[in-house]
Amino acid sequence: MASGTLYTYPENFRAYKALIAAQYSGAKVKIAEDFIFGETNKSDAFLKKFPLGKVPAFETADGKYITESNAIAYYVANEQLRGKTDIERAEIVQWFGFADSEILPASCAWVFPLLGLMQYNKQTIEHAKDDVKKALTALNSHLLTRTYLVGERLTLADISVATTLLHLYQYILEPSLRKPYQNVNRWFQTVIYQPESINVIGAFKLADKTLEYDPKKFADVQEKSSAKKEKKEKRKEQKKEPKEPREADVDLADEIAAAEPKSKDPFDTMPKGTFDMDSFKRCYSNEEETVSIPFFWKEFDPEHYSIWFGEYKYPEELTKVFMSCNLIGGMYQRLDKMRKAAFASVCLFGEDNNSTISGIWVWRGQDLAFTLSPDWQIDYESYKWEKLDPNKDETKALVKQYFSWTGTDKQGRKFNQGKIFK
Amino acid sequence: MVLCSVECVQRVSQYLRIPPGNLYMSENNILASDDILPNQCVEGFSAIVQALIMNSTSPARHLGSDTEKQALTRQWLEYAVLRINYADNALNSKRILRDLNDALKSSPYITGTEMTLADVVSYHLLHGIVKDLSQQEKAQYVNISRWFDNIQQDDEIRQKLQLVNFDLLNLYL
Repeated sequence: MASGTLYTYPENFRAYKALIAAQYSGAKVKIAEDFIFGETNKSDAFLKKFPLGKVPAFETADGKYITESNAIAYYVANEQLRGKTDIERAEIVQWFGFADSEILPASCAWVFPLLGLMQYNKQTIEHAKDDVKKALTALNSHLLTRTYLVGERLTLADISVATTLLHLYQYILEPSLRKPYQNVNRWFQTVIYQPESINVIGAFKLADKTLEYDPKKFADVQEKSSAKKEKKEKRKEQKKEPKEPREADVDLADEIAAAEPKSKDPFDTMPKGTFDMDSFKRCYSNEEETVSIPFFWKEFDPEHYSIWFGEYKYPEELTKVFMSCNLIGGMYQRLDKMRKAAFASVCLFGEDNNSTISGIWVWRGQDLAFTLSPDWQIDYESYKWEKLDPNKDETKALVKQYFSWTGTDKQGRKFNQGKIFK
Repeated sequence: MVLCSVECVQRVSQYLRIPPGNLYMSENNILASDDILPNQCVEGFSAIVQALIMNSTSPARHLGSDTEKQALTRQWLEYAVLRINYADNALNSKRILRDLNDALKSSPYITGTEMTLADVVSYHLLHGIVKDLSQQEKAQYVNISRWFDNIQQDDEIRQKLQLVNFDLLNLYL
């Protein structure tokens, strides 16, 4: 039986093909554990095995190398999935082609801009919509008289086409949009709700509402990825000349998609406690500090939440006030996913060329939250972190000072500006 | 004459590879079996089929993988007894075909995405009707045709029944 190692980033719909096929056949497919997209697959060792440096890539137990998701899926499949007769096998290859050339380009062109992975271009999207409609209409009439794409049992054709449609069903095809394709819907749900698929994809939910274009998202994602790259480059220090900036092509979009923390909120693993972050934030936004600070202390749950003092380590590098404010704002943006279970008030003291940044942070859990997700680790090392004891009077004073944006820093610089993370 | 007969139970039991026990029509004209459950007489088509499922090697496969699907399978077994049972009358059969055709519009199998014994039972009950449908009727009940063609491909389900031809279906749609 086929066995080997699959290189991929998490939640890669292309890798799903092989993983689902392996569920059916019982092939032993191990996912490479220490795989880091953009690093592992650019390493010399990887490129020697897979010259294109693309994933998914598969290394068989006896040291053979396969790329292209359909080929890998074929290798790890069983006889039923591969097709039992020549005509069935031919039809399956036909559907591979259909998925890759009729659905995939159109789906990417439609979905990626909405996810903020690609520039939004109305014309491209309209074009993509037409292509998707055409493909779905063809599929719909094919499936009117058939339960599965090829033959009367599930094959690789179904796995390949359904996984290629995942993004569309996940983000785009809200009930009204998918209504005309009832046969496709029936078939799609049949394929992805098979226990073998659920083991790989998890419980899939069809779109309730089409994702809407949000220009901010694109900016955020771009910034995040460039920040990531900067950091990466910094780490490698003076490694050759800087790389040419790459176009936002599909590959890069893939890369960003891989880097996106699709994983669940890291705070979810911690008990929620009794402190309702949202109601405090509402109170803080709508009421005077004389109301919201007592509210904070009344609601605060020291067992499940902690209070931290963060101070920027390099105040001598701070020049213009607005630039320092951007530094704080940028950090907040990069910590976007933390918002649900965290609150902060970070203040700038002093004036141009003589200022400090420090703030009070509150988040779920007792340890430094930034280590929970690789996305949150861009800025935090530039700050000195000190956990505060919520029972001490000094802490109360600090919270009061920072929440109400008053007072001075340790050296007596006056409060200049504050920013709230909520 | 009704369709949920001794013969149908025998075919289902052959598919499940579970002996149906001693099948007979009881005094009040109800199908009964003596030996499926120890020292007990099981009465009624649906009850006998469910007892067969419980005796089979993988009840979850035939009844459904969770309680909701199992409830649906039971529901459709009741439907088989109360409705399909009388489909040998032309008027009834039209109505049943229409109902089932609607039910199969959005799911490939009667209870959803998994084939259960409700499909097997319904296939056996409807075989006599579907095999005599005209091409036009097969196209009219396209969802039933699709479902029926899928089910009959399994030789263990079909057994000695005739393979119904749906090859020309496309021409009549």
